[in-house]
Amino acid sequence: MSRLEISGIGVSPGIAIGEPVVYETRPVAALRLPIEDNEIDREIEAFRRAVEGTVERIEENAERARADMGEEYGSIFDAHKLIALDPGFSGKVEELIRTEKVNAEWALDQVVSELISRFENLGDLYLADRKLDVLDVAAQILQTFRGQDLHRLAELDSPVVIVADDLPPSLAVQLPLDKILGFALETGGMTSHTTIIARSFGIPAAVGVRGACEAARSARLIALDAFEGKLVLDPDQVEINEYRSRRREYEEQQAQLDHVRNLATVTRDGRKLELLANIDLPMEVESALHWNVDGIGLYRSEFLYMKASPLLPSESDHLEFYRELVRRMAPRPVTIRTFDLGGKKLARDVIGSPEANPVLGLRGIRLCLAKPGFFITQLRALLRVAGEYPPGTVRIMIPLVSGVEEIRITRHLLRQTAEELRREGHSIPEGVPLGAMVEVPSAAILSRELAREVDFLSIGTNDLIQYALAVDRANDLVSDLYRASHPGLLRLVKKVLDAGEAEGIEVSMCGETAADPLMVPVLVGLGLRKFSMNPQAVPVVRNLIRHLSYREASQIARQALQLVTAREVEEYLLERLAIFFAKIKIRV
Amino acid sequence: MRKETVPIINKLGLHARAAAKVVHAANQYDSEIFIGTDDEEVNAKSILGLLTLAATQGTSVQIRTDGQDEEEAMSAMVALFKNRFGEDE
Repeated sequence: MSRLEISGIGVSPGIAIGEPVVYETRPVAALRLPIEDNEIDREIEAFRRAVEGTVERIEENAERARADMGEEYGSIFDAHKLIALDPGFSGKVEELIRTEKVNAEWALDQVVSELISRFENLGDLYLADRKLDVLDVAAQILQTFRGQDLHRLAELDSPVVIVADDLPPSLAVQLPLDKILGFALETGGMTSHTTIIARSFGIPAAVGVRGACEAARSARLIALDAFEGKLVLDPDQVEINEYRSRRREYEEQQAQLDHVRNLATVTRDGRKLELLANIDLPMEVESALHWNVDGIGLYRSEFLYMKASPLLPSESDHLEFYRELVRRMAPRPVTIRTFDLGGKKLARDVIGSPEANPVLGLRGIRLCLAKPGFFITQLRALLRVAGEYPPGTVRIMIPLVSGVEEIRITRHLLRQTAEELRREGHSIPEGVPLGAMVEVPSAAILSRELAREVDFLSIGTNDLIQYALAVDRANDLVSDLYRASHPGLLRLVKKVLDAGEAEGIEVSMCGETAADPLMVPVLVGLGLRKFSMNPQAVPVVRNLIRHLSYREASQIARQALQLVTAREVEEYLLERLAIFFAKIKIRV
Repeated sequence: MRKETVPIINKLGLHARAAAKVVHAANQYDSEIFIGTDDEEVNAKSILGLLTLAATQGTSVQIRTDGQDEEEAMSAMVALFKNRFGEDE
């Protein structure tokens, strides 16, 4: 094997060296393998079992979807079942296996490809989108046919580097993370779910590594340099040694920060700040507690939905999970963000057809209010848990708020839900804190008005940058325009902080910017007191804050606000903070 | 054999869930049931066939039923199309 290098984007720092395991979730162009006459029946039998298994799973899913969301939502599964059983699908695959004497995977791939090209030729948007349903069913059959890849992964003796085309969230949450040294993904971005999982667990990861799957299939060893976003296939011994020593250096650096775990988050001149954790997965509570955070600033409840996917979590699913989460964190406050999915999977099932522009479509609070059924299920569980703890422990936060109206409707729903629960005999307190994410520019501009209607605001920079600068960070052509240092963004952040100050409500920040060493001094200077981040980032930020003075940070912020381009802001910060960063050994 | 022409009036056309309803309805009858446009005709008992039919809102489709219970089959099919497959719009 010869050495090959592919570049991508590093999204979770670190170095991984190990054997690759290629995981392809899309139906891939399968190998055409000839089979003997006496193997044909066995191959067809195996394929039929895969179809039956898939149909069974679809039926189970349909049943729960009907129970949770109503008849109409179950019917998409019905369509999937009919597709799986359609003679034009399964029947054709069997026919190909028999006439061509080939393996089932190849036959399935042929049939799917042919169908897809027929759909694509139809042209019309709605029609072409139907291929998604066929692809979905094909992927499920293929997965069943290929067997228990995930279980096999869990049984591996030594850890591996996962090379995948794409890891759907529902799959990512099932991975045995202790067996994974790193992730190299062909798709995905900074805020995709696998990235978040990788960063949460300190697993090196790179995305956008095009062609990684095909290249890795024939590689024996790979080195992933997630600092540079580089995947090296079959590296030579010199390189391996170099990577090993860099890995050691990084680990030592991380270990040195361990001493800050029990230190206060306070600036040199005595301004007390709070570091909170953003978490997705139950096991991340461990890490949050380890770093002694002041609470959970953002619990992304999507995990619950992904876990139950393609079904919806029930009230008791929610309840059980929140109880455990709050029990472990209390008396520290836990802010739970309500359902923030949409765009893709669920929206498609709910709306019936994909949206042309899902990022601007039915997602976040919009989806919750459009289909209040499952939102109320979540609110019921949140209110019930809130009633079991002292006031202020459980806080509800709603995503993608664009104005005051969504707050009012949510308040109304909360009141109704609380009354309903009280009628059922639950003890539900008044005034469970309700907050809004500020991630749509209109919400930032209206932050003063919003602040009068909510108990707290939290700036979600990942989306705020995307919407304010109109940049899709996953799009290579424009991703360099995605800058937290953009003067437009700094002014929006300042506006929200000032609004909170004027109206006397708390403002936190829960986007990645809150943990960006270059931006933290500016944010401290602008008056931000609560920084919510993935728990792994806490030691670096705490150490930084302990070396910073608030007075100096205020000057830096004032100066930064005078500048008119992102580049000027960055150059100013890098120059102004160069000695500071060198002293605390931060590489920016 | 019976033939009738009906327009597709629901917004999303013959999409996956609507097609599933057509298949279920068609399976209630022994007759052969076909749905066709100007370009092609497909078996109403195959969801994939229906999905590959370019039937969007505003298209007229021809329903053809052939068999013992062709009359009942036809009226069930026509009713389903006229009822927008049970959809609101």
